[in-house]
Amino acid sequence: MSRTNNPQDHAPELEPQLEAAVWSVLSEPLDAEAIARVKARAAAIRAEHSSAPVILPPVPSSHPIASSAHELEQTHSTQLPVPFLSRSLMMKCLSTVAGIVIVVGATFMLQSTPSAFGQVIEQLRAARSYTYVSRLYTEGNTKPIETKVMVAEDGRQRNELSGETVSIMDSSSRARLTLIKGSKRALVHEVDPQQPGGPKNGQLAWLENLKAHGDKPDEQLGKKMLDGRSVEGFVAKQGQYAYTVWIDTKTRELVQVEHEMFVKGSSITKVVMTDFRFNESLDESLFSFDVPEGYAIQKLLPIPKVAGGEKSIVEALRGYTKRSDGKFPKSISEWGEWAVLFSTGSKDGQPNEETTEIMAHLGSILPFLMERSKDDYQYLGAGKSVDDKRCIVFWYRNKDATLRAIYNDLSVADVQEKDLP
Amino acid sequence: MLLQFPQFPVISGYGSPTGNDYLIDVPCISYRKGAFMPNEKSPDWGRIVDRHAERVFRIAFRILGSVHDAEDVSQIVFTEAVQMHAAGPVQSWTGLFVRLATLRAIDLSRRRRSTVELDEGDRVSNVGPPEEAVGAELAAWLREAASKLPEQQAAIFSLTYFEQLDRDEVAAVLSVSPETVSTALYKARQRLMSQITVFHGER
Repeated sequence: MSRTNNPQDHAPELEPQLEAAVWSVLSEPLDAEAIARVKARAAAIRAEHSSAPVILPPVPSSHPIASSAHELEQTHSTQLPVPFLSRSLMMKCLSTVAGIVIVVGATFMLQSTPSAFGQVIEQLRAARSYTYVSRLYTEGNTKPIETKVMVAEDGRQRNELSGETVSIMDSSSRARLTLIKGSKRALVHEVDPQQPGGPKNGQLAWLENLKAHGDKPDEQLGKKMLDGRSVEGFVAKQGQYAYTVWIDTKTRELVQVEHEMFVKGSSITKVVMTDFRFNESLDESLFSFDVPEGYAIQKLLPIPKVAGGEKSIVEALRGYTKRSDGKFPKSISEWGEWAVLFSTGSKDGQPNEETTEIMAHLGSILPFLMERSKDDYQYLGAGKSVDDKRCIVFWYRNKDATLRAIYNDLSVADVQEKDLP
Repeated sequence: MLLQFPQFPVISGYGSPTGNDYLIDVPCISYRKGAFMPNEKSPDWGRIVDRHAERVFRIAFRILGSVHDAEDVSQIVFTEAVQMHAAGPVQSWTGLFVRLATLRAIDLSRRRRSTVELDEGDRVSNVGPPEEAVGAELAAWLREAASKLPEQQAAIFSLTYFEQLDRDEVAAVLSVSPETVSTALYKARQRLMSQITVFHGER
């Protein structure tokens, strides 16, 4: 739920004066010590209230939420907290509810499969540490790219890519250490205190989205056999994203989660996750940022903070065209040619500050695209050059339906539907 | 050379579908239902606090502009959350905390406004360069003006522009329709714009 710092990105455009006022509020720093105090006090609350009587919180009764939450006991919506239910009223309600429970229980018994889905969602919500295997299927390749993902209780993450490259990230999703087993190289990522974390939830967004989903699936796919197990499929939708979840019909364990790639232009067609294990003990050494013995250390510059959004697309393209005699890349979501171009002529294999900044801009493009429907943006730069007649190389639609376009001279402007190629 | 792609250090092209922790589920606190569910599993309170404390404080601070008041509101919110959980299962802690923090902070800002008129000198205290002073003054003005809005409009404006939720998320948090959000937001902006004109005129 944390967003860009641009108050215009997700809501109707504000008048400049009002926008300035909102900016003033948003630019005020948060007091980290105060947050620590809030945490400490809040953590102590549970113990204090564990034996306290249930009381009705003083929610303003004029509010729609308040009115719905308080409809049972309107007389209790006073300024002071009062006992929730009298004993006699509670007994009366209990008998009524007992009848409801029988009816509702019978209904759920008859619809056992959706509750299997709910059970898995609950299991995901309760997961503290977990491991799974992720397979990326790409166009033209039958063999997927396989990564083992491990997440510690404190949020640190370890990715083992095809058993050859290991990446360890801190709890802010910042890469800290990359080990390349074949060449025995250790890339140590220097961390600037001001350095932004990775995209929130990053690679684990699927999990956060499923955890945020309700207990009922959006679609049931029926049963099938998967790797010798009888499984039942469900579709869970979160906004424009759809996840297919396969659950063992006997054990009700999560067997597989799959989703398509959410970015237009990516060669990744599908992501499939299997071999889930939750809350198992994971060795602390798996998440250590220390370089193992025998590895040659290469230090990488801290990743600078970048603006994101259209500014980062412009800056990434500016960096690319500057090195390619004005030619635009084939893609902004596939980075192979970017890596080749920026590797050429580097000293000691070490990216300089400028390259690192361009990569930071490039890295921020995917989250920007993923926030949008595939129908709401298009990259058109392939085959074009900055010297061509002025033309659009990228356009996107804002949530308020306005259109923005980046031209091949790297200027940006509002455009109309009729202006799009 | 191995380039580091900061957002996706290992697998290029695969990352967060959203980059954000979206809040889509509809929060539901049902006293009627929840009061009779004694067997519900106890959530890990420490983890809940760790996950939501910053957001609760941030929401309150954005609305109130006072660290002290934001801490007080945060305390109230967590206390209420415990009570609500005792009364029944909380289906979305995120939704609950966002809603409670917003409503409690607005409530305090309105009560504070009714008892203590903000001293003009307080608005620009402890700020250095002129642009910072103007920023602080604008922020103070917006908070005061927002506290004069009807409660629902204030909540929707705050969630939209301070917490930067989109229309559907605001609707889910406040259990209103997306159309209601749009209408309230339009009215809130109209009111604030009419007031900011006066504010600029006074300056």
